[in-house]
Amino acid sequence: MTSRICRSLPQKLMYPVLLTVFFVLMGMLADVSPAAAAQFSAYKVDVQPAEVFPGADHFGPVEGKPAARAAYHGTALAGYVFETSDTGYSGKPIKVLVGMNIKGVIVGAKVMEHHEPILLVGIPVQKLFDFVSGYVGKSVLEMTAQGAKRPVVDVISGATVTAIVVDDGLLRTALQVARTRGVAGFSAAAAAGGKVSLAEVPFVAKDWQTLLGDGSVRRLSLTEAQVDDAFRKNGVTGPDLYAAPVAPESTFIDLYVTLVTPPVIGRNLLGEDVYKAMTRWLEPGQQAVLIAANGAYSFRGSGYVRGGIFDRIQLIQDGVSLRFTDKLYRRLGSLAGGAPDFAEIGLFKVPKGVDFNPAKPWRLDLLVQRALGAREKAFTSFSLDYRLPPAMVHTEAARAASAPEAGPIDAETSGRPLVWKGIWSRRMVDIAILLTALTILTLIFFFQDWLVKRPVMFKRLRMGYLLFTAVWIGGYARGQLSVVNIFTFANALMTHFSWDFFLLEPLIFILWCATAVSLLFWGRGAYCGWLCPFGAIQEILSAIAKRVGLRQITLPFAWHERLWAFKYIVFLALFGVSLNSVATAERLAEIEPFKTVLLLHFLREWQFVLWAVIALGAGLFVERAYCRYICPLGAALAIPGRGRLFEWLKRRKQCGFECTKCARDCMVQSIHPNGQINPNECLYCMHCQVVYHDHDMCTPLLMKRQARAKTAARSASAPEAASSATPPTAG
Amino acid sequence: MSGNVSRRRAVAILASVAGLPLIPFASRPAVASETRLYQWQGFALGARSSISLYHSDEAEAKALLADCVGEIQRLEAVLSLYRPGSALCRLNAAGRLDLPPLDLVQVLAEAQRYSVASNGAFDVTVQPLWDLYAGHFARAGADPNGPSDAAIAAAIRTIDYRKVRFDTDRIEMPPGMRITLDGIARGYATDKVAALLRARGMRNVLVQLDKAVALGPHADGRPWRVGLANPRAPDQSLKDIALVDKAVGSSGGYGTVFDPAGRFNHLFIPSTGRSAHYAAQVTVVTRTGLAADALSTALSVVPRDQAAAVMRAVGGGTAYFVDDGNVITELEA
Repeated sequence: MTSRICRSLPQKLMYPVLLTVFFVLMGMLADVSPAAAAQFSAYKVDVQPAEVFPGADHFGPVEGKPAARAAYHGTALAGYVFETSDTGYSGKPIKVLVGMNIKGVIVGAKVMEHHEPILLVGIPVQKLFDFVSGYVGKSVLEMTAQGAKRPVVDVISGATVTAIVVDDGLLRTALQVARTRGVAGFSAAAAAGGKVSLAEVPFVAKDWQTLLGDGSVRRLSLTEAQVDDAFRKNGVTGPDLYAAPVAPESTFIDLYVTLVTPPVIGRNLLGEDVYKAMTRWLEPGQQAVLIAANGAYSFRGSGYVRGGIFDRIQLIQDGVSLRFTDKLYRRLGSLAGGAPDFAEIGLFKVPKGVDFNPAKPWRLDLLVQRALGAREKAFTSFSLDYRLPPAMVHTEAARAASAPEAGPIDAETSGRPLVWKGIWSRRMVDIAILLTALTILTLIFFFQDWLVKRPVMFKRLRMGYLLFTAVWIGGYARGQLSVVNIFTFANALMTHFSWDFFLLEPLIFILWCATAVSLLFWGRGAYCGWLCPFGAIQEILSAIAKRVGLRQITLPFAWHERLWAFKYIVFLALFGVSLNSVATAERLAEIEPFKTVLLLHFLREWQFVLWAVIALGAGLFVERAYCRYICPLGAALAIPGRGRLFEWLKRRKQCGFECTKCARDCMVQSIHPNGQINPNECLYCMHCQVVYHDHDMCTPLLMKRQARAKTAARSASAPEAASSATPPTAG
Repeated sequence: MSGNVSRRRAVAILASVAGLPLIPFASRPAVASETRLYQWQGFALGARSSISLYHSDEAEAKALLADCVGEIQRLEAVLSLYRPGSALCRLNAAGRLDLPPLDLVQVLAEAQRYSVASNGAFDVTVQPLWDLYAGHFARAGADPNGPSDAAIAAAIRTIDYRKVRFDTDRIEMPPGMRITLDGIARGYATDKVAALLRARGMRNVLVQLDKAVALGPHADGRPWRVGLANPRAPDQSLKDIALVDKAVGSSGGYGTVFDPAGRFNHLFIPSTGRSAHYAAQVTVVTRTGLAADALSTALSVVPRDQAAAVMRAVGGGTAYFVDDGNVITELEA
């Protein structure tokens, strides 16, 4: 049993000393913060466009939406320079100047401004610079392609949210610049809305007329006169040219076009067998187009006869012109579905490797050629727009892909949902591990009565869990919650709340959800006692300290009780500051040594290291000293803990009066001398419950047993009865 | 110096079209109840460009404009000399292009008609001369009289539009020959964008890619007005031209000047290899953007007395010649 420390003079002096140390330390931190603030309160530099666009010799004015300046190399447009500005953790903008060439490759990126506290004190700001430079040489299209790893650049460890926010903002702005300026291969359909794909449409029998009527089949009909007019308009002269031996109103070409791969069109127009044959001819996902025509003019043309080249048609989609050769062509004799007879019917497949989206509009250009004398030729062309009926197109809700002039509202809401989804799916394994751990903890709480009756097993279980919390949650998953989370949340509630932001950190999000639930059930203890990595580290260190025989100090309850209040003051002060500035509050929240220990592994300015060492060091003598007296997060969780639903920690009426064993053994002295457990301080280690059920330790149980033994001995002195009731030894 | 030589930096047609409000959406009272003017501005084929259209639906209008930009992008990938990897650049590099984009074939065929009509004065194969002059004046202490006669003669030997053999399946030309479509491609692109909008039912459109094509007037019936630039101060207008269902294109030596004295510009006479100075600026109003573009170029490099014949050979139009004293001579043919 630990000797109760008597109130000798030096011991008495110790408390004021301890308190003084706290306040001196607070003073030091407070001292550091203004200094740091003066030095770093904001990082702000002027970056010239030339710095992010090597090779450009002059720049246009800032214009358009999103605002950007054109960069020129000579007269040729080389790309754009634009600023990305996104609200970071601090609630203030992180500004990056970015240069992007016309191919959509980032050619330069520099931080102009940021207020991120974590980078102002703690993680060297160079890491942010390095992170941002990591984009140079990368293509925006590739980086934002579906399934691409996001962020593309390795995140800054410890400043994940900052990195993700920068990543999201940079790529989204770059994409919008590319879209609105039509560079990097961007054009029409991409700018018009969200991602489109072929919708799953159940097969319905439709005849030719229906398909023509609902827009599945499109038609281009030209008379000789219309073609003559087109040539005339081009200024093609010559007496013979318009004297063709046909009537002006006769059909030059009557041409029909359709995307034939969707079964609703293909199976109906080709018939079952031909459609199947076509499917075999195509590779999975490959698209085919059907062209059928009557009239004087052949869409196949003379080139087909000469070299297997179709020289009168080209298919155009999103800035890509496609020409066909005989390898991509199948001739058909007739169509099903009651279609009229056609002089020419051709199936054309879109070559592999061509970025063709069947759900997007495309067009067919028909080239018309006329000979002018022996060598000269004149051309003109006609276009037929093709667009699937809307019912056959599935449009994903417009996200980053917004209309050309995306407004600020767009910029605020788009992009992020997908970002967090990507993060969640990439961290599936971590999420699964955490959920499993939380399930185990839930089981521990639900079956606590059963567990605490098995002291050895329970002790091992608890130590094992704490090791997991310290190593996996704290070390690997960086799942240390912080009082700053509360401020950010509160701040978001007061301004524009969105779950998206909080969903960026899946493990923190899950932990907070679990904490919220456990708070409702059992109070602060479930988090503080089981899931807080820093708490777990303190407890493990304390266990080691006890094992090596380090003398533990027990504070007199009166002192202890008054020191409790300190953490509430810390919390309230920080909360007050956060209402004014989350950034300042975050800097002051350095009173939590979490960052120093778990994120930066003590590699920081000496003040922070000293503070962390003191916080952990104090815990070697006063178990969980930090949790008891200082932790503002603990205080924040304790405040609503009063309203908990369950009261599962068992007490006896003798507790506190006849026996104070649990109170003395309680690692955080949360049991009042009157035997009542203070739920604001209790970390739910369940040690008192182990004692409660232990016949050798719990005094009321011992007394009961002794009384029973005495009665038994006195009443009968029957040998059988005595043998069964005799304990080995009375402790 | 060469870095500063800007081909077409100053375009003849004023960038801001007279009659267009600066803030297009807000200040103008709508004609129909909600028909409004929508405008895109940007760069296309190296020139400041804009597309203006009237529409009653904002989303539709924006989608249309986006489609236009897409079409411009596509054409740049075919016709631009400044976009590495464009069909034209590949042709220039290899001297041959199989299965060329049909747009390139069409532009070359049209160019050939203007070459024939101008007796070779208009020639898309003059690019070696451009390279020669730009290279010459890029050197420090360059002879102010321009490249040597021998160098010019060597460049001229590579020029001849008749040696470009093109058809829908292949384009071929002799080694060393290089094509520029600067005198014709923007006009073609203007037509293509206008055609795209016409096909989508647009009736009040001004497409301006250096050259301008108008479909109909403004929605309220006013004609589109395009400024005729002052060659000495290209951002000032000498004259406003009303444009309804017509196209306009301009060409002027001031667009690209190689030397400080301004003696050499990009309007080369293929037969002599020297810059043309027949007019300070030629503007043509005709039916298509391509015709306006190619004709204004062609009329800049032929003597004035041949101008009417050239115009008639390709379908005619109205030409405005601006001389060094800013006097405008109109010619209808």
